[in-house]
Amino acid sequence: MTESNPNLKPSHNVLLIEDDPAYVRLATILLAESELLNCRITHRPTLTAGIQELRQNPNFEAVLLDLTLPDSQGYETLERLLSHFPHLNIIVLTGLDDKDWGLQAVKSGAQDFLVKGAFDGDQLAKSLRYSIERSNILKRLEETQRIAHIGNWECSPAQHYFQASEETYRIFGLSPQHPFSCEELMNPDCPFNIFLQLQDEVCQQKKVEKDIWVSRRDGEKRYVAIVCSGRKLDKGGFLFNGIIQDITERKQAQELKKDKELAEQAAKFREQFIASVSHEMRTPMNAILGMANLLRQTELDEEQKGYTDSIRQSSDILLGIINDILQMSTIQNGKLQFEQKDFQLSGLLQSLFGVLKYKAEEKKIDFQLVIRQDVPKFLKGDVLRLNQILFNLVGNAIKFTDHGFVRLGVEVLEKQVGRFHLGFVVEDSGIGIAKEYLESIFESFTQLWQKGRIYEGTGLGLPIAKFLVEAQGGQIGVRSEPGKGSTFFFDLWLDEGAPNVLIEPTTIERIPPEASFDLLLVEDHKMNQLVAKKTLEKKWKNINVFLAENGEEAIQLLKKQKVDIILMDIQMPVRDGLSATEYIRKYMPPGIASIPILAMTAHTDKTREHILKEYGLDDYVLKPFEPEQLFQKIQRYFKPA
Amino acid sequence: MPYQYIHLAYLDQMAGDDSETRGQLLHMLIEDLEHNLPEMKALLQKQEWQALQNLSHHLKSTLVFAGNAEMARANRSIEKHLTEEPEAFPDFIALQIDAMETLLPMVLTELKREFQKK
Repeated sequence: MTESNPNLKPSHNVLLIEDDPAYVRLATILLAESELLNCRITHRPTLTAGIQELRQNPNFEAVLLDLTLPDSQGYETLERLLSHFPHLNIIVLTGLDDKDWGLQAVKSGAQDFLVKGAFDGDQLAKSLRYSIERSNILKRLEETQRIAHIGNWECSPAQHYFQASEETYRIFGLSPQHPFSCEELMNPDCPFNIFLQLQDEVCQQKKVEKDIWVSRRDGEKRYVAIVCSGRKLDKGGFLFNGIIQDITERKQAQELKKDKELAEQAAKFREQFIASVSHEMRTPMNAILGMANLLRQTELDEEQKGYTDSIRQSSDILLGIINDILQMSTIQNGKLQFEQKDFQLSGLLQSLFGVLKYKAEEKKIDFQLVIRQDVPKFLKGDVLRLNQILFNLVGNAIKFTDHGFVRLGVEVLEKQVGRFHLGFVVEDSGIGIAKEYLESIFESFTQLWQKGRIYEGTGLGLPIAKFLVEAQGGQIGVRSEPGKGSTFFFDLWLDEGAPNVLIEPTTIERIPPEASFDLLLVEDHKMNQLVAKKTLEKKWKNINVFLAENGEEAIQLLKKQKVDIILMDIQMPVRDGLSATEYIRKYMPPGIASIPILAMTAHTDKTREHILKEYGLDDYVLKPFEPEQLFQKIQRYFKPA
Repeated sequence: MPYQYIHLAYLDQMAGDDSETRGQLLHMLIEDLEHNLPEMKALLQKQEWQALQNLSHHLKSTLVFAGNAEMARANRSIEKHLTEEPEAFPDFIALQIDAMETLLPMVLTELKREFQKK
């Protein structure tokens, strides 16, 4: 090995394959004299020895190759070397008479050719240096293409020329070691035949851009983006060039995203559909209930009373089903929220007992409420949800019990500072549940079928109860024996609550029909104004209904007129209900600021309820309103003078 | 039985046995629909999304009295889209308004027939 010029950095490894010692000496001297390149020269006298050296030491940056060697002559020498090392940076050395070999060699992949005896040191160094730089640039380009999965190709059918980058071959699952010739591309089975097809289009459109699926040789499909353009050559024919990028992963990610969006859209549509259906059902349901109630107040004979009661009962059931479906939809959408409020447990249980005992009495069932003495009176939690769980379990127990008893019991399982672990048990002597149904009893739409009789309901009561228990950290279970009865049990941790909280009965008539009081109705919709006013005046003959078209008018009116209660629409022009309520609560004198305000809204979800409370609204009435619900809410919040 | 474009159960429930209130409600309903549906289209053309959302909210109450489920559904879709993603779906909103406009003449005919009954 010879160091050509150690003063120049960096040093490059060059292999010289040359059998003539005089030329070896000459090349070494010329390179040593040149200031353009510093290289270490290794010499091998035959092609075989050169190949062996390259195998042992792959770090040569350039090869100076004599085409006439003892073991190989002419152009074949280059071909043989390239077949072993296709990316080798080769500069061919030819004799004066072999210039044509040199030109052919460059076409076939050599970087340059030099005619022996016709170059000086600088020319040799320059040729080596440029070829090394070019080779490095090509390597970086190949690496960039590999990382970006982008390949490029060039093709001129008229010139029988085709060349593609390594990455192009890899995209098709092919080895770059076996490049295709232009003729091979003509074969329709050749994966690169697609390039020829594109060339036809390029002739018509100048540039073609396509995203298509292509088949690899192993059968795998890849999604590629191809851009191809072409230009006319002076010597006739076209030169086409193009790039190809494998975008399969991006495409798959897009498909996944699309699938996800479709799934989300479907869920949204389902939610919308359920909300729409429930709205559509509520209006006629309200009408049915309202009519049945009105009918019940007229003079009827016993038979007609029976029919009316049947309508009311069926309507109640249907309303229950609508509410179950709505709640299940809310649960499935993850929109359910739990409140932490002080409540009196015994009051809750007594109230529940009071509501359901009539149903038990109708069936002549012994309904018992057993509260252990150590159960705390005051607790903190979501009282409405607890009521709902118990209502579902006790309601079911009564429904599935034809004789015997239903017992609701509560006990303390464990006590910690400031909180209690409570166990609730609902026991009955009803029809019981067969073993094969027990496992699926908490799944949606499971209904009990017994003696040819299917019990009414959606089959959603227990799944809802299970969700409500588990979402609060508890567990729910069941034991049952067909013909003997069932025992449902669940546990919940509840915080100790503040004393003196009462569950107010909502049914007490706090405003007698002849009462005189003032109500402010803030509503911009004329028809809603009219029906609300008429409905209220029908219920309370001496009511004074003041009207305001928007929140601002309401505030101005309240400055002059004291009222007992306010019904507030939410979305109104000029000033909306939320802003008006906030103003009343914050900036008006205490006597006005404390007036009960009920929102009138069409929104039913819990998050909305939370917003209403934040702005200072006491409660809400759903629109289109059901008169009884409106009356009950007014009764509940009305403060007698 | 011919298809009924209006269902006055809610209106009738609210009016009770008061025919004067019923007539008043029907009159208001006809006027409201006659005036506000063309207004919807005008607001869409002017791309006044907030005003369109307000109008759609107003019509929500009105349409409960008319009882045409398809019009109510179309209007709810408009309000929902304008509340959640204003400006995102002008073509969808236009489609819903077209649906409402298509139904409007039949609804109005039936409402006017009801109004004349009194």
